[in-house]
Amino acid sequence: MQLKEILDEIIRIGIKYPEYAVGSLIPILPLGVGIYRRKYSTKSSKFILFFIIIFIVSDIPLWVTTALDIHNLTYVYTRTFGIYTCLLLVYFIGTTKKSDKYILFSFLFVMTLGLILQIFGLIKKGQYTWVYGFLLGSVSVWYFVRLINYPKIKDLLTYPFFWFNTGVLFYCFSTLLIYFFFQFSITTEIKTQTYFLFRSILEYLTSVMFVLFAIGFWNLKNNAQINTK
Amino acid sequence: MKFSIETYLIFGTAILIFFILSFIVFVVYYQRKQFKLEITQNEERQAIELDFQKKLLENSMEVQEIERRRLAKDLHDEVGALLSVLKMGNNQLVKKEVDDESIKKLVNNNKELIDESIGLVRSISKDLVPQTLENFGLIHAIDEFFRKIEKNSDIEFKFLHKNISEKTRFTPKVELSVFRVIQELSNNAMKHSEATKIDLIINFENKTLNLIFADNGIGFIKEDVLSNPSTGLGIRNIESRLSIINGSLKILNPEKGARFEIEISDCHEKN
Repeated sequence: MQLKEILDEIIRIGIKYPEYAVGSLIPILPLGVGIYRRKYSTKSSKFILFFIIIFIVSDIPLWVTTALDIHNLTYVYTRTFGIYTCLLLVYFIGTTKKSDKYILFSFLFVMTLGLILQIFGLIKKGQYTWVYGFLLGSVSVWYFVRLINYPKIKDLLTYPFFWFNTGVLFYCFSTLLIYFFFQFSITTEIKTQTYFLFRSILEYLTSVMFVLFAIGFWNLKNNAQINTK
Repeated sequence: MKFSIETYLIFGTAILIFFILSFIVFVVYYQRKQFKLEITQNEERQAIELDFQKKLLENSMEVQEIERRRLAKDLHDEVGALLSVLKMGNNQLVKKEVDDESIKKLVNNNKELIDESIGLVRSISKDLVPQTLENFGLIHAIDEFFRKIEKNSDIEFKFLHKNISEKTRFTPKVELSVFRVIQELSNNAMKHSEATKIDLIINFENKTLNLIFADNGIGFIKEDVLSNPSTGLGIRNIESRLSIINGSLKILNPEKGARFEIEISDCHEKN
């Protein structure tokens, strides 16, 4: 298949499943806002920007393999692991407490172990992806608990990390059931109606996360003002 | 009725989203509540601290006044008495007939010095404890203070009082603080302003005592004076004294000289 044919096939899939196209293109929004507000970025927000770039770049092989009709399930699960790991690293970078770092590191260890077991076929692919979501979601809940008790923020709605965390929380817990049901729905023949429905919902929920990230990046300026006051 | 896995998934996800949104709304609401609580607690803490500082200041001023009183009493009773005895001894010497002119001159000279010392001790002890203020009130005390300075300097004092009679009395704390403030302002004007005229207007209306103290001297910039430890102390003292009696000081820079506006609220007349 030539490049033009691959592109035609990608466009065809994009038109047939617009939610996939939206899910792949929506990260451009937070990326644009993040670059626009780069002047005010912090270490963690820079890493989120880096995560978005990784997300966009790692999405390309998915489209190409789908267009070429190549089996890409291993890549999908490795990428999902990568997404969760990157998001976990955002918290890892943001925290200064040693005990917190140990907890996050243990979560990372569990996730990596899951990936290795999947790659070596010791557990079914995608069987425990929901565990990643649950672990990361717990981290975001824990972050919210910390945020509640941090009295210096006058308005949470103008605090960028509120939005980033909301994005992560939303993504992790809203996709929990989808990833949980994946293990029952995915067979060797993945192109089932259930699978497409799952993926569609997943794309919408991922899009919501990126929109929330964009709001977070937009509020970076407010955060800079809070810090300098 | 049997539901498909898709139905379970959609409903389940919808419920999860509902819980997530509820949780986020709760976080925002709770954080705002916490923030408000923190502000209230901070304000309360500041009020307590301010109150404590005010009491501390009040105490220190009180101690200062007690010390002044003790010093005045000692000067009057001890030094004054000693000087009187010395004067009596010297008077006996004066009465004795001495041939030596130089001794006569010395005794007379001593008499003058003793008289001057007695006068000085009386004056200092009077300055330390303003008896007129205690016995006759603010208006009399200020008037007497101004007349006294007028005698010893080239400054002309003009003192006006509105809605306040010579018999009006306030609490001793208010009277003493206001008097000390006026003393401090007058001394500053004499020392630094090169003024030839000082005006003081006192007005008492709606339980508020307003004072305007103005001179026609060279004036000053408040920030410059406050940044200088040797000159800023006087203004800080005035502000401290006023803070104890719910007073505030405004320093204005007119075209010529300096103008101080003092407002003391919640000032009650003493029956």
